[in-house]
Amino acid sequence: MIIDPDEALVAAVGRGEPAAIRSFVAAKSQRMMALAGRMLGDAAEAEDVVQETFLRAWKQASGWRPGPAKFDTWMHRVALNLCYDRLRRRREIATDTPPERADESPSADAGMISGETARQVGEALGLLPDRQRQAIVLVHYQEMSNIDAAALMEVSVEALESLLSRGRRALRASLGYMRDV
Amino acid sequence: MNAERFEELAWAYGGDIRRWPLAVQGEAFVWLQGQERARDVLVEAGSLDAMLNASAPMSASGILRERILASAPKPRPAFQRGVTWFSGAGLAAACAAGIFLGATKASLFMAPAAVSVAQAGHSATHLTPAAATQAVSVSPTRTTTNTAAETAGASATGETAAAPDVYYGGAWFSGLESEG
Repeated sequence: MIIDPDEALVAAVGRGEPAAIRSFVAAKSQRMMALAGRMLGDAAEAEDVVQETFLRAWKQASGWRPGPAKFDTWMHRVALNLCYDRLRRRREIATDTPPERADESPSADAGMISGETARQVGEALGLLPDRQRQAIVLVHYQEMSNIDAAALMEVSVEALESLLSRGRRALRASLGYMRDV
Repeated sequence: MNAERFEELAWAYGGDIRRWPLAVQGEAFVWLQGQERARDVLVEAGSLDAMLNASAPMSASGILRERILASAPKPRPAFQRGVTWFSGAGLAAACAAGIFLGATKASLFMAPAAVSVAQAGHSATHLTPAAATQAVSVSPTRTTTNTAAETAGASATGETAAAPDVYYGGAWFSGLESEG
C-alpha cells in the first residue's frame, strides 16, 4: 500500500473540520490551478476545472480509504479528465487557430524578455500533442514521480519517458532560437 | 548506464540529476564523472528547463478559493447526531403512545353504554362514538392536572379519573359521554 502524505488531512476534511478544509484548499487549489492552467492555457476555464475538481473531492473525502493511489494523484486524474473534456470540445469546434492564451508572465516587472519567454513557452506547450504536454506538466511542473505520473496516465514508465523525451525535444525545436536571445 | 541511456534520461527528466528517478540517480552521478559528453547533455537539457521555468503557473485567485471554501462540507457536531437520534426515538415513542391510547379510547366508545362523569363537575358535553373516531389527539397528561374536586367527584361515581382526555374540534373533552 502507498503511503499517502495527505491521508490525515483528507480524513479531517471528510469530517468537515474547518481548519483542515482551509489547509487543504490552500495547498491544493494552487496545485490544481497550475495543472489546469498549463493544460488549458485559459484562466477562466482552468478555474472552472479547479472548482469542479474540489466539488468532487468533497464528496470523495468522507469515504476515502488509502489504497493504490494517493489522494493528490486522484485529484490530478479528475482535473485532467475535466481538461480533456474541454480540449475535446475545442477540437469539435474545429478552430484552425490555437486558442488565445492567458498572460502567464510572472509579473509586469519581470521584464519584457522573460514575459515574452513565458508567453512563448505557454504557446509551445499548447501546441504539443495532449499526451506529451500532460507528461511534461505532471513530471516537470507538478513534480510527480515517474511512477505516479505513469500510473495516472495509465502507461508504463518506459512509455512515460518516451512521451517526456519526445515532448521536450519538440519544445527545444520550437523554442531553440530563444537560447540565443 | 551508458551514453545513450544517460541522454534519454536527460531528455525525459531534465538537466538536474537530482530530479531523475531515485533508482538511476546513483548510476548517473557515477557515469557523469569524466564524461565530457554527459556534461554537455545536462547543460543542453538544463537550458530547456530554464525556459520552461520562465513560464510561471497560473495562480488560484482569492475569489476562486472563497468559492471553493463556500462549497466545502460543513462540520456536523457530535451532539447533533445525538439530538437526531433522540428526536427520532421520541417521535416514534409518541406515535406509538398515541396509537395505543387512541385504540384504547376507540374501544371504549364502541361499548353500548356510556359512563357518566357529570357528577364530577364537568359541563354537559357529549361525545358520540362516531365523533370519537374523529378525535385527533389524546392527552394522557391531562389526567394528572385534574383538580382535586374532579378527582374526588370521579371517585365518588366510581369513574376512574385517570381516563385520558380527548381533543376534538378545538377543545378538550373528558372523552366520555356525560349526562345533562
